[in-house]
Amino acid sequence: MSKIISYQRPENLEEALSLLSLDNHVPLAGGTLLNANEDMEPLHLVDLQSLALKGIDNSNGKLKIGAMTTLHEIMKNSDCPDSIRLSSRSELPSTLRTLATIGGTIASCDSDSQLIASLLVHDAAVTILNSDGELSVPLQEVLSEPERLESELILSIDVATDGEFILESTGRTPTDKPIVAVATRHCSDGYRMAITGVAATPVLVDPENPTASLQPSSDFRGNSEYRMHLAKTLASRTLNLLNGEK
Amino acid sequence: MQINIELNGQETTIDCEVHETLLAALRREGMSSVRFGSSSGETGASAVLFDGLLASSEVILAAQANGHSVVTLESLNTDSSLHPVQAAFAATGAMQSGYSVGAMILGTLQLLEENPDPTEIEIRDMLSGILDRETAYVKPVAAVKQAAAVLRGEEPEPFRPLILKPMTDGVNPVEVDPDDSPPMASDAIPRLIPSSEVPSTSVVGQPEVKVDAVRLVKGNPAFTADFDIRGLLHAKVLHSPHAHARIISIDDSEALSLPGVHAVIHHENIDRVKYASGGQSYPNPKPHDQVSFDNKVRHVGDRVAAVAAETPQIAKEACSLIKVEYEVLPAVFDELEAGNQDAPVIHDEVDTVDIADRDRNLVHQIFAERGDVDSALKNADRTYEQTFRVHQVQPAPIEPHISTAWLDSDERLVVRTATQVPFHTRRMLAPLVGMDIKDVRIIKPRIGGGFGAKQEMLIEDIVAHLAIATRQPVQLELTRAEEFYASRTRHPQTLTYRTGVDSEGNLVAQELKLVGNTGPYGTHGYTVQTVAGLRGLSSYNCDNKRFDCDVMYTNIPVPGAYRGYGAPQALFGLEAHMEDIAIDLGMDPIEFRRQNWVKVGDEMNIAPHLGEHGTIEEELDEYPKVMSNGIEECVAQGSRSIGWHRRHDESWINPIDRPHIRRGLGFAFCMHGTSIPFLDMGGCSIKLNDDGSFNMLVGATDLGTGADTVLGQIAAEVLGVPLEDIRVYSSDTDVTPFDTGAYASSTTYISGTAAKKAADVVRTRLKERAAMLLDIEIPCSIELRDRRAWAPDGRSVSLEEIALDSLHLNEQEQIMGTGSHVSPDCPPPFAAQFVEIEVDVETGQIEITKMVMAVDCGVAINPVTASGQVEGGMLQALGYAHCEEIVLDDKGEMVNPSFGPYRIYRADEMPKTEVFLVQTMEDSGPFGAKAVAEIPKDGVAPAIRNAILNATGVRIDELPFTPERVHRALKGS
Repeated sequence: MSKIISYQRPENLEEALSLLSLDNHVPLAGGTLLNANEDMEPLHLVDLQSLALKGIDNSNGKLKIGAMTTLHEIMKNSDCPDSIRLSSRSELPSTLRTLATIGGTIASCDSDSQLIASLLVHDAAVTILNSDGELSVPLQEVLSEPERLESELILSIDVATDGEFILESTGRTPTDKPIVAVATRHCSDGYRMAITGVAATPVLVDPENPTASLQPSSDFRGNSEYRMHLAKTLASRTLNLLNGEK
Repeated sequence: MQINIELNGQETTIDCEVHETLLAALRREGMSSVRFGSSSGETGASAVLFDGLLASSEVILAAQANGHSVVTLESLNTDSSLHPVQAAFAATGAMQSGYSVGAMILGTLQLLEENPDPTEIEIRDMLSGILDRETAYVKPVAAVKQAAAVLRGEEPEPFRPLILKPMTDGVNPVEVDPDDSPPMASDAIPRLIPSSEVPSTSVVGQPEVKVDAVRLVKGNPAFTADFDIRGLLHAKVLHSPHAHARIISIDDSEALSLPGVHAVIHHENIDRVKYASGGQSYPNPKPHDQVSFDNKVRHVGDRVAAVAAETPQIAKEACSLIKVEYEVLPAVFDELEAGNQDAPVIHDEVDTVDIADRDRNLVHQIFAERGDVDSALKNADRTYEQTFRVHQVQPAPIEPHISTAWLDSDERLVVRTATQVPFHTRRMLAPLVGMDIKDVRIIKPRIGGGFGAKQEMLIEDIVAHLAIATRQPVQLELTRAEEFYASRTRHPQTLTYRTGVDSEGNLVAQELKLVGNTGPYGTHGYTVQTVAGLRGLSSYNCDNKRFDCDVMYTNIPVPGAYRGYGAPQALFGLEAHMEDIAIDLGMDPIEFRRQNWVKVGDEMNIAPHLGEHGTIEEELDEYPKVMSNGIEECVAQGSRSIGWHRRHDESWINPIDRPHIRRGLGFAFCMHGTSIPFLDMGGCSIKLNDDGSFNMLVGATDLGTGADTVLGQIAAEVLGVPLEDIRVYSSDTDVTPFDTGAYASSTTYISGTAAKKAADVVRTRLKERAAMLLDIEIPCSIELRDRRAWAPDGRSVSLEEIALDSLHLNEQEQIMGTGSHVSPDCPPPFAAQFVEIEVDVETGQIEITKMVMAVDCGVAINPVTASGQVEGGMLQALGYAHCEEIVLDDKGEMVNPSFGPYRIYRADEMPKTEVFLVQTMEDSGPFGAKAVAEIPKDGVAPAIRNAILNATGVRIDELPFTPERVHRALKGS
């Protein structure tokens, strides 16, 4: 953290957006990733904690989660679907999930994030503020264009709460970040399926042919072929479980 | 900038830098309970209550905390008493080193405020962010439960061992009744199986609270980083980016011109003095192949230069300004390739001597043989050959290496350092800095875990050189990444066993061929491999044995000592090999081992030929024998606990409701050592105080193991006083007696006997003085108990009266005694390791669902600390077997130098763990004690491997059992 040039804590959205439009100014949410990075380039930090972006609202059939809501708060909130609560819990251990936020989790778009996979299958839409105003963008679009978040602000995330959900994963240990995880939701209009560990971010896939477009990279935890095998196996398993089969 | 926070209920203004973490700001405010583990926050050692919630303060900027509430452990320390949560952690033995206990206590406070009666799942979830390499989280969970009960107003059960009836006569096996269930108790409570041969004692054998418990549960200054010193400079090291390179030039001018930089040291300005960094007895095993700074680097992370500056940030920046020109050389990483003709020569310098064959990177050749192995193999009814490969892991103590050096007012060099070997460090450091031993002082405060990584003179020379160069105090604390790639690791090895068996299932020949990978430096390369040979060939009776070993230089991060010291590698191979032979012979795997394992009276017939001072057969009058062995009771207790009868039950192995799961049970027989005979030596002195209490000085090094407590219990038992009357201090090379250090499972046995001898001297004099006061002619008829000296006729005098009389009134003298001990024996502890697992046959993922270890460690001087050793050892062994591995890319750079990618077990994923302590009376040990520290490292990996075999029929002879590796094996590819 030796390369932080300045720290600012804007009091309103306009001020924050204005600061973020400047060179080398980045948003600071919980800080669990940014503050832990010892090798980052010199940066100006724009701390979002005073922007009233925290909170969970469950009305009109949609759940709205403020971008600065911590994973701990989501885990403890009974309005959130169990799938989102459990994914928030498994995302980080106890001493980090009290700091990490859902907005920061989306912005960092970790390939292995079970929470993002869960949000994807819950039809998550991200409300973003930029110089043109607010707009709602499907989460998968945000994940495919991460650079847009350098100058835009995530305000909240809307998620659907209905349906049944199963998450199956394979990791080195029970609470390790999975090598591959598959989240599947069954709702009134069919299935949603998302897979981690097979692309640069968690991805929504076609439940009927989940590995069709995947080309996973290899790393020391699992090579490409093995990850494809896991994706197929776990996808099939989630569908069977949702259908009441073993 | 300034921040305002509510710190422990007080509005507080703190000056800080914009880049500073809350951790740094809090420590500057004197909050010593908040400790550094890693910059990623993964260890949780720095956790505080941030707005009432547990959070790692090393990933919070101080600026972020402005306007918030912060609570640290110090908030509880309003007087000398303990808060019920602190008291529960002390009473249950929930901390070993106690480095992270502050975070655990704060998390408990938060949890119990939300929920006064949490489930175990909720407790483990709270602990999930606090990594612990020592307790396996077993006793911390019990501490939270006890604290919750107290705060609910309940009276908790005393935390004492569960005494179980023996199931055997100690010699013969029994058939365990499948319907016989073991008694129920918390996993944290050790199951103790007493022996009728063990005499009754008052303090020894009791679950005494650790003597350093108050200091630790209050978070008082205890560790190297906790002590402030005026004018402190901070050091950083410039590491090599290349696995193998020659330094052509080095230009430090720009670094030196950076404001705040006080010194830059490297091979051009530090004398070239050869040494070997392994913390071992004099003379250090050869070759002496290191210098403080060399003109060649031999692994990614090797030292190039070091900087002392006014802040760590300036020192780090200065390192980046040092211009180094390298000639990059080819590198080799695999021990099997290091001897090839085209492999680079890693030590081509002329001033390193005693390398067996430098052109082949062969550091040592080690050979020992009993009988005629070739002939016996030729004549055996069946022969078996099997090769195993074991990998590189890191001990990962939560406190990284840290040292502070300064020149005292007499211009002597003082180093306060987290070391397991203060006396070895003094001896090795003195010549490197051109000083006499008498002018060097090493102070060892509490250590936040070591496990062998700190059995090394690793960074003390850097801070010493810089302190001398700057004439200011200098501190170096490694980052977590440096701890991985620039500290010490476990040796990778390739092991090939060949075994001959007769028609009755008796071993007739056993050979272990081993190729050890010692990385770029020898350090512990010779001794770890000899211990691998010793441990790999000692468990079973066999007249013909051979150890044939090559130790190779490579360019991997440096291996060194790690708890177990060669045994975990060797026993992985041995116990897998024995399992497979048994199955091939159609024998029960335990029965086959039983037929061959060493029993009381059997010779350990290769032991004297392997070691630092290995002897040849002609020099020996007799071979050491096993004098105590509780393995039959261990097997019986462990079998019952794990449900061993289920291993052939198809309905259990193939659960009908989970078709992709196979269950399995695995066993491993473990035999370790207790100290190094004729080599390990410990000293102790004890003096009487005015009030009848005693000061006890020991050179032994308590790493969190409870050594100070155990040594105090031994002295208290001899002197007839409670443990609280013994004040233990360790260790300071100016003040305390010599001790070789904390390694080789030696402290209880060696330093404990030294403590007993010193106490015996004091006891004798106390009796003589009591006889004078009681007018008794035969002092030896007097007994010491309950703080008094008792005459046979029932009269008594208190130790306080004896003290006042001897110090102030009559024939004044200081009653004190010293003792030292070195042993000709190395009595082996034995253990039965069982595991239960589930294998997902579709993905290769395995889950370990239960671990049971039943240990014969002689008499456990303190059953709570002893069981804590076993629990923590099994956690580390589980990581070794299952998920931990140092992964290098093709350039030799570690790709996973942080927690997470380098996976260690968390509280919320640990299997159920049970420990049985089977007493035997080992007459050569203090009050019957043998070792317990390392044996829990030996059996988990082979037991899991054998459980996979039981579950799936698949043999995997390489560690770790990652999902991909297991899946590959299941697929047969």
